[in-house]
Amino acid sequence: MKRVHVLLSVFLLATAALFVSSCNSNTEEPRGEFSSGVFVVNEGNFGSANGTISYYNPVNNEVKQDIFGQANSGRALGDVVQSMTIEGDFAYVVVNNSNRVEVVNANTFKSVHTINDVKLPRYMVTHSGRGYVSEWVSFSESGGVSVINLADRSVQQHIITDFGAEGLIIQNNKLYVSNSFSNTVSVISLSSHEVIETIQVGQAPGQFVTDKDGKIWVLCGGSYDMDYAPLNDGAFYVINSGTDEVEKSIPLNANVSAKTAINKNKDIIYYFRGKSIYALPVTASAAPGEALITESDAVGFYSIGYDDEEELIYAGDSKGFTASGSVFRYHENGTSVNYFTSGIGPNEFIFK
Amino acid sequence: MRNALFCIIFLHAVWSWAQVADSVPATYLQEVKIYGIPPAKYAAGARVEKLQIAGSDILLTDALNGNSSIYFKTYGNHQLSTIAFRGTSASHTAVLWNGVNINSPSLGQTDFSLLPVFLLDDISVQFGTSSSLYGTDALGGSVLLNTASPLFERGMKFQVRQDIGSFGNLFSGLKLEFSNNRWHTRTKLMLRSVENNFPFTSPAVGYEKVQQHAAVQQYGVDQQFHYQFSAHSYLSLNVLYTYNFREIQPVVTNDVSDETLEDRNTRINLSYHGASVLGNIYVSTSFMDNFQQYSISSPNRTQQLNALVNIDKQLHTRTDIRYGASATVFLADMENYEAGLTDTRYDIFGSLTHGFTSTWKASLNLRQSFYENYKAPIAPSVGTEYNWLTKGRHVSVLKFQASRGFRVPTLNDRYWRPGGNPGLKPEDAWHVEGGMTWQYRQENHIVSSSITSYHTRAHDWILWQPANQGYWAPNNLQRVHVYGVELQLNSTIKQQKFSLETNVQYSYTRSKNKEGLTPNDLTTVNSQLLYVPYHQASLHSTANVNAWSAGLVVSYTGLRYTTLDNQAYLSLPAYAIANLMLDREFLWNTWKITGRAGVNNIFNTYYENYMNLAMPGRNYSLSIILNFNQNQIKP
Repeated sequence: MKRVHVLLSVFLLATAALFVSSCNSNTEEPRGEFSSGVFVVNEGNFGSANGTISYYNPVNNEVKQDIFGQANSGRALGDVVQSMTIEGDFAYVVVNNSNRVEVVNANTFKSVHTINDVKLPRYMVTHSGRGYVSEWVSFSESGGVSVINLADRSVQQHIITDFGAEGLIIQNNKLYVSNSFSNTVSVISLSSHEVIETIQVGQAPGQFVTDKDGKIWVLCGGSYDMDYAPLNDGAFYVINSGTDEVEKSIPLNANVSAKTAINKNKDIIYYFRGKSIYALPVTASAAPGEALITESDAVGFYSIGYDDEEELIYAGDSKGFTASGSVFRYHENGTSVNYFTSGIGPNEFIFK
Repeated sequence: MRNALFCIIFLHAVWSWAQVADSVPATYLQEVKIYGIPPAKYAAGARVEKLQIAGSDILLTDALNGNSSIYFKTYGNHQLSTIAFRGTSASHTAVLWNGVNINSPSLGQTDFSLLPVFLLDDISVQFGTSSSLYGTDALGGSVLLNTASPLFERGMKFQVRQDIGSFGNLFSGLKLEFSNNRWHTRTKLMLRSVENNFPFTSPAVGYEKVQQHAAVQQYGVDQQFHYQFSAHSYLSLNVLYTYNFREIQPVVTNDVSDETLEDRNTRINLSYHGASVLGNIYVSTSFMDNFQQYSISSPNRTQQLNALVNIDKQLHTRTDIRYGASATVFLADMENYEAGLTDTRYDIFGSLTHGFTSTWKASLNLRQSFYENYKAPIAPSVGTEYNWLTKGRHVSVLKFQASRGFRVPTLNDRYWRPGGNPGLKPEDAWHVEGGMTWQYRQENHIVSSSITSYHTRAHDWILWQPANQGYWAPNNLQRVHVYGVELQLNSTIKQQKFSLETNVQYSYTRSKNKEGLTPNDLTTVNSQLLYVPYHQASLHSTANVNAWSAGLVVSYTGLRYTTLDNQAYLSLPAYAIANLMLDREFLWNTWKITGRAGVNNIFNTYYENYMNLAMPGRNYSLSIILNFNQNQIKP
């Protein structure tokens, strides 16, 4: 197991560090208890600032709740904890309704810095010393992407895209931004930091994955008519990052969550609706007829992830936000492994 | 100001509860002249309390907060306040204004911060399930707001008050009454502004901050015209209008916000009271208009038209019957409803109360409610009171009641698009309650106490959950078992120049969720419902010496869970707060002038009634109240 190996290496390194540090009058810290494992980003109840990060250790099934609060004397991350991105020794926690990105030590979760100059931020990706944060900005203005210098954590630039800037992915030195209140994907050149292309996709595009051929898949959640009836027009759109054109689209015949994940071999894409998870091979031209998993112990899924190391599917059940969420783990064939308790509204998984 | 002065209200409350406790009937009360709908008449066996706090500058939230069986989820100071009465949720308390349910038709609950006590006359609270008397929503309890009976030939009186408190609290109030042999008019005007820029140190933040964006403006008017045709009949018109604009207080971690909420509520009631061969007739027609605008989104509006007839007749010396019917039409203009939505509800009801002996009485009530194409469960209640002990200075009464309650699904539950489910069943509850009151009387000292215990089992509670289609939808999912004990002890010492009154209350409330969120879910079964403290207690004490009076209020609120699986790390810790107040009265001719000073949250306790929404620490207030001809008309 690679993870065991990693743990072993960490142990050895830590011992070495300890040895070195004992010679160096204790100036170096150990790497910390969160140097590997699974992090669950829990959104929390809107307007309650009770979003948290849970830590899950797959080796011993141990779960630690609210690791940020634990490491920072009970401090709260803020309202609507949306996502987390790890780059080097730092984790960047994006807190949507508190308009901030909390920078923490990725191994100890001690707070390092707070980036405040962002408006309704959603997700973050990093590239050559810069962080790119998607922002809704507001419900009546175009969203966009803020460029952050990771060295001094200052916001350098804001690039306007379209309403509800959401998902982010980098391919071919270009940043793709899905605009979730709209039906577009904006393409930003990472050299010029300008929008060089706007691609029409389905309604309410959300998250991206890249398949084994380097194609970009964006999941569009679908829309509602004037009477708020679902139009069942959720769909995958596949973008060729060479030409920035849509190569194919796969209608899903339903409104779905716009969160998605891809397996280790990058040939099966997972998405969900209600308490069902669907597996879509990248070669498919139509939506799967049946769900891979329908979880009778879930109220409704809210997140999906894939752990390349153990080759397992992770799915978070929000329990309708009235109780702690649950995270279910499955093998690729859909059989259940186990489940564990998270914070309120498990929203995203980060595998470290 | 709310905080600044809520000790005053508590003092009033002390008196009122004292009075109620005083009047715990040795034999049931002899009704003298009954008009309107006296809440307690047919509620034998139930716990009913009247709060005599008219004229106070506080919100209804704080008026009721002194009661240990009530918890308010307050989203900040003077912000949204929803009630949890005896361990139930916000939509399980019926709030009636002149006999008509004023819970928001769309949400089925009341924001108690929108009701300034200054504009209200009579406030009574009935504990426990009482749908047979008050219809839908009356599961945990009922709050009854009634226009006071008119009093003719009393001349003119008025009151002016001005209050000023910490953190930009200002309140101005005017009351004017006039009556001759035909007319009685009451006019009440109030204006309030609250800055709410209080400092706080929340553990979730770790350092002191000053609350931003939580200012509130409120004004309101209550206008009443009563016209007497004869000694036995009169016509009343009552218009109650309130306006409230608030900046929505952000959570402690957030510094900026631009969310606002504007509420405008108009309530009009035209009623006729008269005696006839049938008995005392009460006929009313009411109109309610609820306007609400969140930030800059399009406004929501609901309207309600109600007609009510109630006939109350004394059959014999100790036997009374009551019967009647009501019809309500709801109109809604909401973005997420079908345009031009209307909904109707009809109720028929009857009551009987009978005294078997001078020490034993019982009452029986029955109500059937119909809405659209559905019927609510038929709601009966039986209650009895037995004065088993009257010996020397001791009086004790045993009480028992059993009842059924229901809650008709709200307009949101049935018509919200997407997800609304017109086929939802009403929520249904069975309730039993028993208790005992005991009173000991000496010439200068009265001690009274009561113990009440209850069980309520409710099923088909409506729960909104994520549905497969990607949106949320309501279903009749939850089962709940609520039980608890309420203790009350009151002591009043009255001497010529000195009096001391002390009231202690304690409630234990167990509100058990009985149905897991999924078939195999055990983490939420038998858990305590959200925001229901197991323990609540309060002490209210007032001492009067000559024209001075001093009051102390201490209240304790136990730990509250915010998740249905009762995670300790996501709970709100218990807290206690104490308030002090000093009061001096000056009498001059027909004028009475009262000066007050108060300090609230003396120990500067940081506390929350809703997760991560700060409440003010120590704060001060000053008030001056001028009354002219106060004794001419009793309120």
